[in-house]
Amino acid sequence: MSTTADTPVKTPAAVTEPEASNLWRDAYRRFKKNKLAVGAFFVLVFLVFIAIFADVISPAPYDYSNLIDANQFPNSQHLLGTDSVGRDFLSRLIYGTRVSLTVGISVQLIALAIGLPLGIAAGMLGGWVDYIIMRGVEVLTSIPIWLFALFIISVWRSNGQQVGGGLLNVIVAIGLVGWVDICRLTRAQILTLREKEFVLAANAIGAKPLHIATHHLLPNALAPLIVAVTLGIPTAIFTEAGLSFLGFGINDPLPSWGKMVADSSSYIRVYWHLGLFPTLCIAVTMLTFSFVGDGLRDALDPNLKK
Amino acid sequence: MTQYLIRRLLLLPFMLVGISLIAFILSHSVPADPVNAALGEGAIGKPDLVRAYKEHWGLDKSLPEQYLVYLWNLSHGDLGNSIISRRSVAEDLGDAIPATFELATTAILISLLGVPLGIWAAIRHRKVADGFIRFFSLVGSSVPVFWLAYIAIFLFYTNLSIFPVGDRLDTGVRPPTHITGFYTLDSLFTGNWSALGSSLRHLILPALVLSLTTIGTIIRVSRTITLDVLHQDYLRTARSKGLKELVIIARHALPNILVPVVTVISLSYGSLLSGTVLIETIFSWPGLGRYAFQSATKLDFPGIMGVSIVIALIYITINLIVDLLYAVLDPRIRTKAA
Repeated sequence: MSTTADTPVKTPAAVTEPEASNLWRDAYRRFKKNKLAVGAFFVLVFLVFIAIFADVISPAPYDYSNLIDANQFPNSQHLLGTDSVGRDFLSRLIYGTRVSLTVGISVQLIALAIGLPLGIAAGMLGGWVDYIIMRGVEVLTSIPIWLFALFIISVWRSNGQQVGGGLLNVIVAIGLVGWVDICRLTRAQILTLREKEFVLAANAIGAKPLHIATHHLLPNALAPLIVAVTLGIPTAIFTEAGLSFLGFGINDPLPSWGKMVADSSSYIRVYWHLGLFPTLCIAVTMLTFSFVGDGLRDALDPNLKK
Repeated sequence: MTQYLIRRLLLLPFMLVGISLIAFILSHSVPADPVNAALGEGAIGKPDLVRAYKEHWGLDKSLPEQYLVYLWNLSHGDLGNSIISRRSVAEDLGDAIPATFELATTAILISLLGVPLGIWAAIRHRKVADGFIRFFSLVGSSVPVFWLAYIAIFLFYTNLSIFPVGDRLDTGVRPPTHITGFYTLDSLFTGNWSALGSSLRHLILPALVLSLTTIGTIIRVSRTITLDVLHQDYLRTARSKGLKELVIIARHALPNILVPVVTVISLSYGSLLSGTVLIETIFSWPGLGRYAFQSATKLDFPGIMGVSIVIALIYITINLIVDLLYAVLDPRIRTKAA
């Protein structure tokens, strides 16, 4: 009789001590279970690897053209064929990865650099600061990003201000409008978190507003910001592709997937691969970032905690 | 609710001032002679013309004053003359707005198909149909629309010659009498059958490609919401009452699915109305998107100012309507606001 009474006491001791639970560990555990997101994450690592080591991986420089080799279908020498001026298509796609990822990540960095401080200021200070910032955000939201980017890029072009083959222009133009979402999100997070008890406690022991913002509010707002940035990257890449497609983004010889599709338009009848391959690159990149972003959101959202 | 609406409406003029200010500042960062650009080479020998133009736009005054003059003219419906078309911007926009509305409306009507598809996918959760529909929705939202446009043009125009590409009517077909500005509707109302056929054939291809950009999102949202609703307690109650599955979906699930879905559709409609630059440019559709592209890239300042203001107005109006729809569709919001 006594043995049966002992068993339930023993069992918990026999179980190994579970690791202390915190947001990031829980998130990691949840993310790991999401096969789609994990798969996408590996593709993302692969894309970043290609972008960084483009010089080593690609069989030829992106701007090396040999007219004799022009318009070749995929073959043993040029695995994905050549374009109309005889540049190795695979190499251009590989360097295109670098261009796309650079645009996507840099735009988000600019968005963070502008949106974060403004969002914090609006959320913390409130009053007329909040009012002015939010009206500015509303004005920028109501102008389509396309119109703004196209206009500002053509103004720069007519002033002769093109930097890095148009790369920097594209990044700045998209980034200048792209920060509004980050700003809005940061502000909303701060407004919710400000009402929490731990902020009240910090206030009570006399912490300065800036200290509260950087040490208590921001760390707690980090999860949704990470998701927003991850999901913002494919949007920026898509916008760049569209701008380059229209001829107002990246300039030749720098490869941009969007521009490569545009260049293929007159050859679509015969050289179908010139349009298809960059399209696939764009689609894969878009899906990768979306899946990882969705996975991160599910993993970081405490509301779904089981 | 009404108070909120009034507050939003009162903000409208300030937003328009903000938007026009941004466009104005950008426009004046280019070292070009506005008189020369607007009047062309022909005006060089005509000092009267130049003086009149300068006076009208306050060009001999300081920049802030010039902006005030622009606002003054704007409040009188004078947006200036386009540098490209040499017509008044208001006239240009008057032609472009219905063209874009016709295209966007057709596209959004086509992509409404996404709602039943999404609901069906949710009902057949993790079955073959679900897989197919999800794949289609992913392709729609990840494949760049400009490539889809090329493929569509290649298939239906170059190869099969079913649909024409470019403009809203065949050359030689006269536009129908202006009633709504939608060529298809106008020709239907006036019984102008040749214009109806021609405008339909011009409309279908760009609208179809455009709808691919929105249908993916609509499917995804409809599917997620339906999945969520299907697991609610009140549906279990309905099932245990022995109701048929069709009745459960139509009577009990649908109203709750509709609110978020209508929001997504309206927002997609808003983005179609303001952001069809790529499709309109590829298909040479004479709407707002192409107008914005041309005026932005050819630095047509009156054009760009006018088109930004119009697009912002459309965007703001659509958002207001979405807010109103919320209240109409969801009684909970209505009572909360009152």
